[in-house]
Amino acid sequence: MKAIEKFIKTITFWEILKGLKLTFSTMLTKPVTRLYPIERPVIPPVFRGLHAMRRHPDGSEMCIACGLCAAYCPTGCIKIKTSEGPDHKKKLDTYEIELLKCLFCGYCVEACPVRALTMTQEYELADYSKEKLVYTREKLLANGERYRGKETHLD
Amino acid sequence: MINIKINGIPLSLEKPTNIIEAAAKVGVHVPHFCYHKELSIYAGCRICMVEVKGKPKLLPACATAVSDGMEIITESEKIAKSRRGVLELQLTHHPLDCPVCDKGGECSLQDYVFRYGADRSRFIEKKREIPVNYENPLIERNMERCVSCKRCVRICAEVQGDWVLSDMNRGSRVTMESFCGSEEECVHCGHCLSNCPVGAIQSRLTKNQVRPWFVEREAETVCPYCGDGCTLYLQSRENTILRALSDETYTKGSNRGSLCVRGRFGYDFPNNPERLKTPLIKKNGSFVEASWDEAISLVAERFGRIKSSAGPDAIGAVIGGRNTNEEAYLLQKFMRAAVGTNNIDNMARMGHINALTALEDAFGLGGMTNQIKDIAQSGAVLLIGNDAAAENPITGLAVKRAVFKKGAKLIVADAGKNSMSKHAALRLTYKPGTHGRLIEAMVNVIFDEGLQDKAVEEKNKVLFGRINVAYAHNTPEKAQETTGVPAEDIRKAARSFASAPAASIVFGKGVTASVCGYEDSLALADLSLITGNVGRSGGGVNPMAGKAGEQGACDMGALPDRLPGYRKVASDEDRKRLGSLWKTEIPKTAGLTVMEMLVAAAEGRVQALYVVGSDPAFELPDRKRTADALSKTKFLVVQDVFMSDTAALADVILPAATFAEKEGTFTNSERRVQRIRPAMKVLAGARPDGEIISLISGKMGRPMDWEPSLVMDKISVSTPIYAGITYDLLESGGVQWPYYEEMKSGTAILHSQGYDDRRAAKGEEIAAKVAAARSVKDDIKEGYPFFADIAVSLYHSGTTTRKSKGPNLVVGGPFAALNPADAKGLGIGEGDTVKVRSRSGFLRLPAKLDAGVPQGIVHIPNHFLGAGCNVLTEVILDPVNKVPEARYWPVSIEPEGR
Repeated sequence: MKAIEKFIKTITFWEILKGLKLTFSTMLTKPVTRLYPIERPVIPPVFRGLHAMRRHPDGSEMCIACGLCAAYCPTGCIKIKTSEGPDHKKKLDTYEIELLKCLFCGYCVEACPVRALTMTQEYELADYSKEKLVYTREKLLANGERYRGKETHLD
Repeated sequence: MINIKINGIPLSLEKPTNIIEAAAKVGVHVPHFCYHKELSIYAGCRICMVEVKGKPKLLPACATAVSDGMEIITESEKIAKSRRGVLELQLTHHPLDCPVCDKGGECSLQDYVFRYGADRSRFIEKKREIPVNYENPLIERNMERCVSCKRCVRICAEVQGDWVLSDMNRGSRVTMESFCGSEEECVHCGHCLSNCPVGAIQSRLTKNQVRPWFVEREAETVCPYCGDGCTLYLQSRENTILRALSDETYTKGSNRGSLCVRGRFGYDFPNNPERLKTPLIKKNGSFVEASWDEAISLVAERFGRIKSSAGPDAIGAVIGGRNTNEEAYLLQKFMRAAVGTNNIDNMARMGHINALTALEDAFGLGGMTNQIKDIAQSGAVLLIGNDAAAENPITGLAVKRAVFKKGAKLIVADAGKNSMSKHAALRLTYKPGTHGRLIEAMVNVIFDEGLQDKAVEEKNKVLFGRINVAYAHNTPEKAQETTGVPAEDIRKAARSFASAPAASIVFGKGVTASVCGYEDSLALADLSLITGNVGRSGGGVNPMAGKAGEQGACDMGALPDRLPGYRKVASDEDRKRLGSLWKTEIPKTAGLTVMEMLVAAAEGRVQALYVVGSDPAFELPDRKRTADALSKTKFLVVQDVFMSDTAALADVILPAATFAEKEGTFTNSERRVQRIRPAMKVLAGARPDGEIISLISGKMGRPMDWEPSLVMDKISVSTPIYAGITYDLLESGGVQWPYYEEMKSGTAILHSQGYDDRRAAKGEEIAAKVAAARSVKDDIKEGYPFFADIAVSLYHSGTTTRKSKGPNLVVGGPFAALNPADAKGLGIGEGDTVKVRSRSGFLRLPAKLDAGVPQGIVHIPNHFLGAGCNVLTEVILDPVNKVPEARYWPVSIEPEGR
């Protein structure tokens, strides 16, 4: 019995018909893929994309230069330099995130005691040189400005 | 034997100790704020409470001694509850600014709060608002963060002995403030900040710049400044030194956790932008940048040409006190083997060499007989010609410890200002240059009153007899006339020195850097000998080296008449032995000392000089003569880290690496060989001194390995006192030479098995020469009523501290300190300009009134460019070692108004 069944399946290309059944049935449904970059996905607010540094409503920077983000960072991609500013206050000199090393784990954001650092929905980060992928304070602040008032990782 | 159990772990102890220390032995940390093993027990923080079986209440671990059968529990719910309570009370006032507090990440309070979960206080009170104190240029005090453990107050009083800090107000309002609001007494040692468990007292140099996780590299190294050779930790990030830290365990090296202002705050010169970064060659009177190849070839070629035309003795080399043993060894080997001359000297010629040769002649080995920490065991200390609290601050701490902890009688004998005076039982102020008479009179009194050590006398009758006769003529009354010290004071000093169970002598450049330096060092050796203090713990004769590398350079044979290990050039056997190791012939004639080299250079006999890590034009006496000799030198090569007065005259400048960039060893004054390790990469363009020397040597046809560990292997073969010392051995800590391989230990105290008196019968001949040299000095006194005390300041050491930020914030420029009475007589006020004039030149300096300066003395720190005291001095040499008189010089003072 088994041998006959096998013989029939062989001459009718049964397996191929089985496969084509899926092909033809899918032809009639809506596509699940997106025509990126023409069609864009909807990114949820808790998405961990490019970091952003935020400003207070009055325009001053939120960052207090504590360096805890750098302390928590598992890959050591955050470099921060500080010094004594006027009035003996702590001053942020440089702030750099080397995106090539970053895991986008979000620990830096968790560590920030003043919510100055957040993550945004930016995900198109490819570039032509390594240097351009070192995000400085200015770039991060600019990204923060882009997301001012929008929902981000923190809210 | 005490058997106890800590958290169930059994432990047996020989001596009773407190619970914190006992627990540390089995690796259990008991939280504490106010306890510190160097300090008295205060038991005020109440966080170290532990349970002891059988006791109903919790006991403070710091103030409870362990006793046999004790069962201690250091962590339980009851204990945690108690600690949580204490922390909550602390947090009533402590600000929650951890993110911006520099202590964050290494703060005890933060750690304990994290551990016991008392992250906020239930006590609601207004937080204290106390402004941060920025009075001190190096140390800030933020009393809002204080946990009132009083460690700063106690360490300032008990270890440093300065009593600058004190607790003010009561109860929850207590703050640590400077006593009476004045920080004048502060010596900026930074003990308070290294001991603060929280962020209340911190360094201003690193303020807001360092977080513990920024540190990329940490190196355990040795401080490059004075001869104390303190263990120091350097932390760096991206090739920049972040900070210098002391050893937190308080166990390592000679300093055991203590540092002075130079070590703790003078670390940043390796990153100074003024560092020399490329070889420079002088062409038509100005320096032109050159490649290393070009510079090395030029040096090798010129050396070679001078050697063939004028003979090897027309080349000389000098090495300074900032270079490692390996570099000193390579340089003397280069001079002896590649060039073929003994013209090699080091800057210990400015004084320290007198002490070393005197001690060698008196006892058989040239080195400090005891160790620095051993001075703390003394019953009496004679501190002569050395301001230990400024020149060798860690030795000063050992002396203070003897005074505070052992009740030792401190006799401070000095012609000039001495900051140790305030701790002294007896202060003897002699006239400059007469310290020898004072020592002799003390020996005289000891024999006169029969205070000498009878047991030792029994064994050394001949020697004692000779000493007795030699000093018999100098009675205290006679000494009173010459020294100006009352005879009764000399008697008192001699009695307290001789009657102490162990008495040590600490001396420095005030004795050694004078025409009679050798003779007077011998007198000190005699004084120690007749009181039986040689080879005794807490006794000994302890000369202090001024620079980190001085002792090592002498050990390595960077001396014209000595080979490595103080073997003599004059001895055929020693020369042959070393010659066979080096496979070359060692030149027979002794070379020239640095002073003689300059004379020879001026006369044209020496045509090339190779100056490594030193600045003769600034350091040696008689500026005009020295500069003249250096500019007459046909070919002057200077190898240094910064541009200096000497480098400006050079034909070729080779940029070298600093201590923070290289491997090597330093030998401190107590003969301890210690490793230095790089905390950063060698500055681009510069090279380690050893490599430069070996490059020149290689070009001249004698390649040498310069890798420091390989050099040390060679040193241990060719230098008998360093036999068996390798980098592996030094990995875990320093070793004091002579090292005995069979016992696997160095020698803490020399001559405990007896000594070898090698004084030849040259005594009288030397005495006559010394007297002649002294009379030359007496001649120049006419018309110059004052003596300039050309001193070492606590805050500076020379070329390198000038380029460090910290020391310059406290003392940024030269001054002339005068006794207020003298100043009044001359009509000089604080800050007035005075002209300090000697026979050969003058200096214009701002005046400072200081009651610590004896009358008739003007104290001038000799560290600042443009105010070098060698403008005032002339060359008068000591007849034995050719050490120039360089400490006290007759001057007159003319007020010039504001």
